[in-house]
Order: sequence, then structure tokens, then C-alpha cells
Amino acid sequence: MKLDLNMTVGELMVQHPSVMDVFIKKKMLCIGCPAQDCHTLEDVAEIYGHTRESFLETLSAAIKKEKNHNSRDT
Amino acid sequence: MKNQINFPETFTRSDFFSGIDEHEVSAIIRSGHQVVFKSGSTLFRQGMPARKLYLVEKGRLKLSKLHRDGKEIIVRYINPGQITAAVAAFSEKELPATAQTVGSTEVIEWTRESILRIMGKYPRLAINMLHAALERLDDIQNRYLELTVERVEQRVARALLRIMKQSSHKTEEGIHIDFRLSRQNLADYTGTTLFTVSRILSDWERKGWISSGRERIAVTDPHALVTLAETG
Repeated sequence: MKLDLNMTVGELMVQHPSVMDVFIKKKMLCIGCPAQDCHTLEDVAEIYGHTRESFLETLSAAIKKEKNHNSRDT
Repeated sequence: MKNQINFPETFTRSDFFSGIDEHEVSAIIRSGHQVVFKSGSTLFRQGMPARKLYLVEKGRLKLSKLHRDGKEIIVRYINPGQITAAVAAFSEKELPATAQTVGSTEVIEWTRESILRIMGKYPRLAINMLHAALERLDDIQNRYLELTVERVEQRVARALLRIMKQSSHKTEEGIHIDFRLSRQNLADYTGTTLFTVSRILSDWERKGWISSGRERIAVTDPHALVTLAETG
């Protein structure tokens, strides 16, 4: 599924739990956050001072790794 | 014996006069000034320069501090035989708290000059004051450490609960966190050290709150963690 800056953080975490690793490494408090379903990826990138591009890139890389890991298991 | 102040047992049992004989205690008290304060009077206010040292003879003093947001915190009570504003003996530093009487209160007060003079004459008084100050310091240090530890534990509990809320599944054993979480990850995420996180998790495991493997944590008593996270 293509990453869209207008997705909410909550949507992303449900679709791709592996991104939690990114949030942890970046020390972003979005994990379990009550505002998850209101904030979009664009919102939190701005709040935490990341450029949209680098944030999306990092998230995509994590998702790709997850896909590779999953396909290896089958 | 006309000039002898009739002093109560509170002085003989007072730490301030520990190791000083009655005759000398009497002289020390005479070097001060006895004052009676009505109920609800203020002896000194937070922020005022320290000018006098007070020994409570009868009654009680309430020491309070005004917090940033206007809240009054009670720091301690000064009971008969105890002293307060001892800092006045050494400098005119700003007093850290306000002292008010609880009921009618009798005190002996000394100015810096008079207390220094009398301490020079009876050095045991200075030794007793040093002892009291060190005990109080020890007390504060312990309390401060406790507070620091409590805060970190709370932060770790909150982080673990959020992660649990985000991605976990329930089994008979407990709520398994699906996410691979190392202790180092958790330490970095909560702004503390690996050592502290390990200690905290071991402690929780001992209490039966969590069960943990290499990078897997299961919460076995979420209520305990929530209570800690919410109330500290």
C-alpha cells in the first residue's frame, strides 16, 4: 500500500506495525497516542521537525523490510 | 535564683541542647529573647532576609512555602525544643519558607550577633546544630533519590503501556507485545539508561507485573502498570 501523507498515524500503524520501530528510534510519542486517529503523517512530521520526504523514506524502508521478512517466511 | 528562667522539660530533652548541662542551658536561653506569639501570627515570611533564629518553647510553628502557581505547601512543623531559621546564624540569606504559629506559641529568639556569641562560648551548641543540619540533608537526599526513581519508573510504565496498546495480543499468560522491543530501545525511548530499564523490568517481573524474554515482553498485570503510570 502506497504511503500517503494524509493517512492518519493510527491507520499506518494498523496496516504496518513494523513502522513502530521508526517511531521508537525517532523518539516520537505517537505509539499508543490518543491523537493517533486525528494526526496525519504530515502533521507529525511537522510536529517532530522532520521533512516530509525523509520521514516518508524512512517509513517506506521499514515497510519494505517487513515485506521482505514476511515473504521469506512463506 | 530570681533571674533563672523556669524552663520546661522540652529544653532538657531538646537535641539543640544535647550534651549541655542545665546551668549552661539557662545561660544560653537568657542570652536570647523570649517572645509570645498569638495564634495565627507570622514570625517570618518566605523571601525575607534571615535575621533571627528561633527556638520553640511552647506551641508549634508551621513552615510553609508558596509554590509557583500560588499553592501553599507545608514544609514541616517546628515543635517545642526545635529550632528554625538557623541560617540566620550565618548569613542574611532569603528565608525559604514562611513561619506561622499554630495556637499561641512561645519562642526564644536570637539575633545573629547574640547566637554567634553564645555559640562561641558554648561550642557544643554549634556541634548540635551541625548534627541537625546533616541529618536533615541526609533526609532530603534520600527523598530526592526516591522521587527521581519514581519518575523514571512511571515513564517506563507509560511507554510500555502505549506500546502494549498499539500492538499486542492477549493469551492466557498475559498481553504479549507484538513488537520486538529491546531493553536498549526502551531505554532510549524513555530517556534513561539500559541499566535502569533492566533494573525496573527485573523488579516488575519479580512482582509478577510482566514476563519477559530476549526481546519479547508480556504484560501480566496491566492494572498495576496503569496505576503506576497514572498515579506514580
